[in-house]
Amino acid sequence: MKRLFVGTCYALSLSLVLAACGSGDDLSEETGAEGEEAPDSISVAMVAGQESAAMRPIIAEFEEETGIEIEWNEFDYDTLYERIFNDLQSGSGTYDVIFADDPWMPMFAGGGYLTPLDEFDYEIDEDFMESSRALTTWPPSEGPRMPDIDPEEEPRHYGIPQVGNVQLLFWRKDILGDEAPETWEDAAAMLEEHEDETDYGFVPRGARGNAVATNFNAFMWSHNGDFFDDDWNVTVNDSEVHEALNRYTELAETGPSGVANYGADEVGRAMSQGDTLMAIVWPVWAETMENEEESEVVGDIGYGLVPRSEDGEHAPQIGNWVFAIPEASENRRAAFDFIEWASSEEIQLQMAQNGGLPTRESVLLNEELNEEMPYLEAVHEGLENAEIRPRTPSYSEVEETIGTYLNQVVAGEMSEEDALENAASDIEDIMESAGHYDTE
Amino acid sequence: MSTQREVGKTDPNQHPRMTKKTKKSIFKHKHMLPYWLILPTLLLIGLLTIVPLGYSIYVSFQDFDTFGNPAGFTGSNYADVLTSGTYWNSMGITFAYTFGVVAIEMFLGLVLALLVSKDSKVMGYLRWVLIIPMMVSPLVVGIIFRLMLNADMGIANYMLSAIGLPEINFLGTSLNAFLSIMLVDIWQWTPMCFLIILAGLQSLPQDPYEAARLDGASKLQVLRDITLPLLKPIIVVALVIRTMDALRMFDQVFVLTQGGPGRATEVISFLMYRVAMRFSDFGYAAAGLFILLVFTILLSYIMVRTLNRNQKEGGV
Amino acid sequence: MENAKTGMKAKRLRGEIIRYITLFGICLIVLFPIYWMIITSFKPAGELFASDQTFFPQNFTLQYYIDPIDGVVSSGSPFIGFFLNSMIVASVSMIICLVIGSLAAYSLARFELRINKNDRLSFAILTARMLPPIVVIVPMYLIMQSLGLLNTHWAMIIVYTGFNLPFVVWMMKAFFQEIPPDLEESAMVDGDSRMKAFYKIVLPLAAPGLVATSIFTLILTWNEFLFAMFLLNSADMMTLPPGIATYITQYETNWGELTAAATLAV
Repeated sequence: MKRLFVGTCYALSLSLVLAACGSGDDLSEETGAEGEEAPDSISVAMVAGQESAAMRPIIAEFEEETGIEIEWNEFDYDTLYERIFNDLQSGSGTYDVIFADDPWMPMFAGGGYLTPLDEFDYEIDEDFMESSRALTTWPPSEGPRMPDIDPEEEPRHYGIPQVGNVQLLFWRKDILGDEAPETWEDAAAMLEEHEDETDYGFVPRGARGNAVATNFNAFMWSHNGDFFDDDWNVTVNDSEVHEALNRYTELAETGPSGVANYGADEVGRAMSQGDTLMAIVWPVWAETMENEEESEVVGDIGYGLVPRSEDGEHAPQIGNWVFAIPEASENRRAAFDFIEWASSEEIQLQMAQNGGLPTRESVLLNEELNEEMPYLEAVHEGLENAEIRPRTPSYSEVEETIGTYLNQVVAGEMSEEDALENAASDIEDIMESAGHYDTE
Repeated sequence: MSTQREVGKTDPNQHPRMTKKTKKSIFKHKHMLPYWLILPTLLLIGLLTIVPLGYSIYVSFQDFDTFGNPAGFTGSNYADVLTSGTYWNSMGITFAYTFGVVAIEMFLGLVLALLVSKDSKVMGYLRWVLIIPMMVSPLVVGIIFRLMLNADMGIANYMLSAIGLPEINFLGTSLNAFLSIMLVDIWQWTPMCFLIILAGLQSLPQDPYEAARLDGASKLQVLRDITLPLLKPIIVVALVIRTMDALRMFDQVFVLTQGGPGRATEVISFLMYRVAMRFSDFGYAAAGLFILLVFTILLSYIMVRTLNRNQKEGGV
Repeated sequence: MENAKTGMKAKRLRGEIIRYITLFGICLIVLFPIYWMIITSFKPAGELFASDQTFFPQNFTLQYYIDPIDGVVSSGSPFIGFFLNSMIVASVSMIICLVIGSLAAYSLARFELRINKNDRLSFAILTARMLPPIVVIVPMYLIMQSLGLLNTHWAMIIVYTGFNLPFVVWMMKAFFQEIPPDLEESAMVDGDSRMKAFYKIVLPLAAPGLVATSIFTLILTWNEFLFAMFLLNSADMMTLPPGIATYITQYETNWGELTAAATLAV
């Protein structure tokens, strides 16, 4: 073992020498590239998929207007988060503009990694949907703040909402009628009445983690349940949440057998194949539903608000995408010009014509657009009623926890009571050990 | 060339290991050549392993705040990991999975290699066919199987019901999901065992076989007494490499199940990936992975030692 | 005597038939998922999850192969660029791996190095492959950053070479050990240097091993995802697997484009 150790040290020292030689060069490089004059290019970290496809064709306009080249880097969802977070945390400033999912904002903005937009004297336009605007602030402008955040601190905007994604209810209007079910009771009654007309009734998005947690959020909130109360005490084992879960599993029984592994893709496919009466689906799927080549149900799908409980409010979950600028970027001014341009009414309109989801009310309600894209009205209605996920940097851990237990319920391997009790105690541990209950 | 070959043939019973003595006497006092030969390898591996590893150990003693910033030193990461039920659940799953797939893959790989070891044109094509699964990116493999194993819309259940068998909820229950993950691994990586063993078979010396044929040994005897012992070094390599790869398996779980249902397929690398990349708890993840690494090293060390020792006894 | 011979022959023939039938069955199992992948790439999206599955596309489409060329896909991936990047990275790292790996393997197989008592050094080399990639990924990023190699193909080549080296060393060592040393020794008696003997005699004899090893390193590099994702941060440097991954979006999977790209990648 001693020889092994000697060999190890030998290699270690050599590689340290190598690493040291390298870091010398790096310093001189970095100091050269300072300055706020207009750069040749700015680099954007973007999520691959519809959001990007709708915007990509338009960026050439910006390049022509300003002479600044846009490096458009697409990553899949998980990778995007990792690339951005790693970049922000190491402060390397690789990207000048990042495209962030809204639950990432407390982490990015709260960690001090983003540039507050008031540095550019930017005031966010009231034309952006209110719920979308709220997402970009830190500390949160609405809702309770965590005990470890100064309650007096003035919220600042750290990004501009660009993609107005929100949960919608898709239903078969040729079978269930033109009107969306108002309450979950109505929905259940509809499903029962038309039970034999398709293979499945309601298809839940039951896969572990984010999938089932997101799906269930709309049930939980519309039953007046929530993750936390105003003092951030965990409330997922309250009777309202039990009731919501009860409703969820009841509807899930009308779904396919393999739902414990159903993600957004499977749910959308089940819907577009005409096997399904009803599901909570992301609006991007509307385009697929109306596409002759990909869908069996062209013209048969209604798009509307996710139902509420008898004594609750509609509460679809918001899932917006936000443009933001890393604090470490060296081209912040140009980056800001770009995101201001991209979120302008004119550009959002073009983006919507390409199949993107805008966040501006004026675009969402644009009449011409709505003729072509019947779902935009539903998106607008959804955003007006949307509920925001708890504004804490620990949300992804909270979501994973509850999403694991709920997944076991959907798989039929855990009772509803056990799942919510376990989730409650685990979430409490998470919040405790993250120090969110420590007031200063 | 011809004279050199003959030298080899004059001593037909020679086993690789037995030459060690001659080798020693001739080359013992040679210059630094062997060290120069191995130096580039050590340098690269040193740079890419020891530095990151040292860094990880350092990280594993650090505490991180919610935003992924280091917040002082602590020993509690290891305590947290070792007392975590989730961690040991994942350990159990990882090891059960590894033993299962490696045993099956090694067995199937050996059988396949023996089946196609005869030299002919058809066999040559077959060999290429059999290693195709390995060439597909694990990510894509996961996706294809996700498509095929979909319980309600996939081709697998469609075929099962077409021939009158009951449908299987492949990914929707704990046990089935675990077995499905194993199935995918076996489909993809048996070819690796197969190819290593086949290459080993092809470079075996022919002389012992001739001797065995003269003695009238049966096929099974030849396999047990000649082929397997001679193949042992190669088998050890295949076994160790596959075990190590299976212990850190990630892609299939990532694409197929995301660790579900519940935590039924949450192998260690997936768990730690989530902890580090999603929850930004790098210290905990580093500690957890370091413990896994210790287990992996121990296991491989035991495997290499045991098999090598047996071989020495058997060979001499 | 005659009877026994024909009996033997019949028995052997039966054995052969069983062998081929078994192999045929295995090939079917092996090939079916590949077949399914290819077929999927030719099916219009509507057929993928239809309740009546078909083993051949009813409406054959080349759309998913043509679309990426025009850039009308959900992902802007310049597929050809990814392909070339992968080619460069995989082949260069394979060559480096084989060259320096076989030298080291030869050294370990033939000499009793003092630092390699009881194969300890060989084992230490092997541990490099035991590290879960997630352990090394963050420090690796920092190393590459300090070397100024971030977002270059060199970073990928170095990383892949390093991670496949243990495998190459172990494989080649096992193959070299199978070759009797007398062969080189007699060449050296004839006046060749050791390196020449290695080159002229040992390497040709270890050819099956070299081929198998190079196939492995090529494949492992070709398909590597995690490091590629972490060390390359711009689209024009990216290799295939991260490129293919962009077809799986948060909301839906673009099966057609994905399987078309994967088919081309194989």
